[in-house]
Amino acid sequence: MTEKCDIGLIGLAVMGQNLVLNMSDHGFKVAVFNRTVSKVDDFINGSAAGRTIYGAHSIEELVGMLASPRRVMLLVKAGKPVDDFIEMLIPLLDPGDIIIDGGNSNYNDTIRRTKYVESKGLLYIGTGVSGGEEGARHGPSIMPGGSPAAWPHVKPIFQAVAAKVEDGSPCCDWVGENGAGHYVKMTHNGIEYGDMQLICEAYQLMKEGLGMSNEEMHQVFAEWNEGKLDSYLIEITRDILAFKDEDGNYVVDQILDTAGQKGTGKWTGISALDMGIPLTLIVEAVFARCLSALIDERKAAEKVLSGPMATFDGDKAAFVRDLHDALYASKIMSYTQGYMLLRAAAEEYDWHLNYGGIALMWRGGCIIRSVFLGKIKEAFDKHPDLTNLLLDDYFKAEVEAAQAAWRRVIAKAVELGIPVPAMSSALAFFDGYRRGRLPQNLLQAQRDYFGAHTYERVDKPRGEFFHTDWIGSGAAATASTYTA
Amino acid sequence: MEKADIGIVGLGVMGRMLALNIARNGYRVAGYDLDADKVMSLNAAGDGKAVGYQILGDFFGLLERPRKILMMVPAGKPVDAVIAGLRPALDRGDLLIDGGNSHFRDTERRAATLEADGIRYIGTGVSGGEYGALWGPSIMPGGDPRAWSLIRPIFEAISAKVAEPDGTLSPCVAYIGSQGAGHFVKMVHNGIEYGDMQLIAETYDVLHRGLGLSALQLHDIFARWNEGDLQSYLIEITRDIFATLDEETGKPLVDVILDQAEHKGTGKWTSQSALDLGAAAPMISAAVEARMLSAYKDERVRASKFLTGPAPAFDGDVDAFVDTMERAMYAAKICSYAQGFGVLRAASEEYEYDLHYGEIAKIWRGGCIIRAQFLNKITTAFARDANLSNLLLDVDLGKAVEARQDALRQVICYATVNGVPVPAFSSALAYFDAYRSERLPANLLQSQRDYFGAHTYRRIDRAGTFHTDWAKIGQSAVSNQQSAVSNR
Repeated sequence: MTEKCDIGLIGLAVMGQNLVLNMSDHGFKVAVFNRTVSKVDDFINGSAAGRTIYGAHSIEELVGMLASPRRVMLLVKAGKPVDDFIEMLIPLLDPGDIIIDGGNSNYNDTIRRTKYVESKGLLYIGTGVSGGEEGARHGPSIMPGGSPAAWPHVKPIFQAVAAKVEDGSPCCDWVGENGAGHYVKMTHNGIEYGDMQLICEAYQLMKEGLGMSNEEMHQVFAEWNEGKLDSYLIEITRDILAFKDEDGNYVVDQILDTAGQKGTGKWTGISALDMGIPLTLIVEAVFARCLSALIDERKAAEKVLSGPMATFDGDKAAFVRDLHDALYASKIMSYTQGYMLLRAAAEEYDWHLNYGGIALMWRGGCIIRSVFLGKIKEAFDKHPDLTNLLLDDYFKAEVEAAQAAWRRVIAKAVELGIPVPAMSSALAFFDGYRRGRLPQNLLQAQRDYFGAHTYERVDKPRGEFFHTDWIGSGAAATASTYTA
Repeated sequence: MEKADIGIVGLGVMGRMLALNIARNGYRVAGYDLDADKVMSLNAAGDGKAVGYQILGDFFGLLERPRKILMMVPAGKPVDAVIAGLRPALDRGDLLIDGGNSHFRDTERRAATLEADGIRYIGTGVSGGEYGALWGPSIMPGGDPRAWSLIRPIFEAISAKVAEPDGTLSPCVAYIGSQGAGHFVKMVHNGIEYGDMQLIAETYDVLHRGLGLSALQLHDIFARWNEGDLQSYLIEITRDIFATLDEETGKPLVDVILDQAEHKGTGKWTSQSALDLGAAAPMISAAVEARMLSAYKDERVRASKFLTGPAPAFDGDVDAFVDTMERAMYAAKICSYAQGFGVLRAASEEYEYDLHYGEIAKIWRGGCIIRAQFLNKITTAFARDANLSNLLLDVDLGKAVEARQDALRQVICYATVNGVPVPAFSSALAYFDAYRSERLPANLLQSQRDYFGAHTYRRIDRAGTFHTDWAKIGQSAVSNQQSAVSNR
C-alpha cells in the first residue's frame, strides 16, 4: 500500500464484506477490521485477494491506514456494539474525521450519537443501507444523515457504490441532519412490511379464494411485473412461486406460515402514533405478522370457528385483473401514508427532507425499488410542496381508475372469509381522507358528555370551545349501582 | 378540623369529585391545591368533611399517619413536580397514590425511586369521568400489595357497585398487580374505549350518511339497542346525544359539532404497547388512527373537492339492515375486547404482572366508561378457563362472533361498495378471519425474507431452520437485466 486508504470499514459480516468489495470495484482503497481478527485474514486471503482492500489487526492500525479526513464506517449490530466502537474510535481520531454507522440503528440513537460525536470535534453519519447482501455487493440504496459537513467527504464513495437508475442517477443523496437517514431507512422498512403484506393478501386470495396453482400465480406475478406493479418484490415473488426443490415440490408450500416482527416495522408504527399520523396499512401489516406467529392458537381456532360458506364462482381472469388494481391502489395509500409520516417527522425534528430525492433513493437498489417510485419522484418534481400524494393529479387519476375494482376485491374477500387487513385499511383511509365530514362529531359529543372535554362547532370559528350539560338535557345515564 | 384519613393533591374536577365522594362515605379528606378558586370550590361543597388548603404545611399537618396522599394531577411532568414537592415532608411508611392517567413506565420509575426510601407507592387507574368520580368510579390500583391494604377500605367504599344476581354488591375495584399494572390496565381500558367509540361512530356514519337516517331515528335505534346485547354506558349516552337539540339552531346538536377528535395519551399508548409486545391489536389501533385522520380536517375538506368516490345509496330493507348493524357491532366489539385482553395477557407475561383477567372484567362492569353487562360474559369465560389465550376461543364469545359473521360481512360489503369508511369494522373482521385460519400467507413472506436477506425459514414438515438459494434458478430477480430497475 503506497497511499493511504479512502475509507475504513469495521464489521466483516456478509453485508460488510460485500460493501467493501463493491467499493473496491469502484477503485476505492479500503482498510478493514473485524473484532474477530481471523475474519480479516480470511477475507483478505479470500474474496478480497488481489483487490484494493487492506487488512488491519487492530483499530489503531486501521485508523493509521486512513487518509485525512478519516472515514470509518461501522457495519456492526445495532445497539451497544455501535456505542462501544464509537468510544474506541474517539481517542484515535482527529477533529474533522468522520464516523459512519451503516447498520439498522434506531433514529433516536443516531440523534444522540450525532450530538455526542460532534461534541468531541468529530463528524457523524448514520446511514440506512438497503438491498440485502446482493444490494450491498452490486449497488444498494444508501440513505445518509448526520453532520452536514461530513457529506462532501463521503459523497463520492457512496454515490459511486450505490445503485443507479436508468439515467445513471445514484440511489443515494444527503437525507438530512442527525437521525434523518436512519429515520428514512426505518420508514423504508415499514413500507416494505406494507408491500409484502399486500402481496401476501393477493397471493392468499388467488390461492384460497380462486384455487389457483403456484404455476398460475407465477404467471400472474410475471405479468404484473411488466406493468405498473413492476418492482423487486413482485419479481422475487414471481420467482419464489416457480421454485421447486430437488424432489420437484414447490418450496413455498413447505414453508411455515409464521413471520417475525421485531425492529424497524414496529418502530415505524410506534413513531407514527407519536406523530399522530394514521399509518394504517403498515400497522396492519405489523399486526398481521403478530397473528401469523400465533400458529398453535390459530390451529385451535380453526377447529372451533368456522368461516362463511361462500365460494368463488365468478370470472377468475377478471378477478385477477381487479386484484391488480386493488394491490396498486392500496400501494398508493401506503406510500401516501409513509410520506405523511416523513413530512411529520421533518417538522418534529427540524429536518429538511427532499421528498423527491427520497423517492429517487428508493427507486433502485433497495427492497422496495420499483417503477412506481419514479412516479412519486415525478409528482414531487412537479410540486416540491405537495402536501399529500393523493392531491397529485397523476395519483388521483390512478386511484380513481382503480377504485371500482379495489372495492370489488375487498367485498369479495370479506364474503369469502379471506383476511385482507392491509387492503381494507387502505380503502378505509382513502374513503376517510376524501371526506370533508367524518363521524367524529359524535365522538366529540360523547367525550363532552362523559368527561366535559368540550367541542368545537362547524358554524363557529375554530378555537372556540363549547360544553353542553347533556345529562340535564335528557334521560341521563346516572346509576352508581349496576346490575350484573 | 380533626385529623384527615386521606389527602388529595390537585383539586381539579376529578380531584374535587373524588374528595366529595370519599367524604360522603364517612372519611375525612384534606385537599391541597395552589389555586384558591379550586380550594374554595371544594370547601363550598365539602361540608366541613372535605377541606381544601393552599398551604402545604397546613395540609400535611392534618394527615393521619401513615399518611395517605392521592395525587390527581395531569400525567407527565406535573406528577414528578408534585412528588418532588411532597417528598421532603414524607416519612417512611407513608403512601403516595397517583390516580391520573400516567404511563405505566413512569409509574414504575417513580415507584422504584420512592420505595428505595421506604415510601409506598400505588399507581391507580380511575375511570368514570366527572360523574363517576363523584358517585362511584371503577378503580384499578397496582403496585406494592401491602400498600394496597392501607387504601383498600376507602377505595372499596367509594367505587361503583355492581349488584350480583344473588343480591350482594361487588365493588368495582380490585388489586390489579405489581408495579405499573394498574396504570397498564387503565391504559388498555381506554384503548378499548377508543375501539367502542369508533365502532359507534362508524355505525352512525353508515346509518346516517348511508341509509339517510336522522338523529331522531338514531335515538330510537340506540334506545332499542341499549336493551339488547349492546347494552352499555356508551350506547346509552349516544342515545341521549341523538335526542339533544342545539338551542341556537334547533338542529340536532350532534350535527353542528366539529368532526375532529383528540388522540393523545392512553389510546395511542395502547397501540404502541401492543406493537412493542407483538400483541395484535389492529382494531384498537384503527380506532386511534381514525381519530388522527379526523384531525386532518382542512386537508380533508380540500381532498373532498378533489377526489371522487361513490355516492352512498341504499335501496334495501332499512329495518332489517339496522338489525344487521346491531349484530355486526356486537361481533366487532367482541373482536376488539379479544385484542384488548390479548394485550393484557402479553403484558402480564412480559412484565410479570400476574393479572387476573376475570377480575378485571368484573371491575369494569360498573363505574367506568366501557361499563356494560357484556363484561359478565368475559368474567364467565375466564371462570371457565383462567388460562384462556383468546376470548374468541371461549365457547360463548367465539360462537357469538361466528353466528354474527354474516352480519359483519354484510355491513362491510355495503360500506366498501358505497364509499363509507369502516376501518374498525374491517379490521375486526380481518382479525377474526386471520385468527381462525390455520394457514396464513406468511409462508410467502418468509420466502421473500429468505430470498432477499437470507433470513431463513422453518418448514411445516420438519424441525430446524432452512435457507434456499432462490436466485440460482434461471430467472433470478437480482441478475435479471431486463428488469426495469437495474442494479449496476
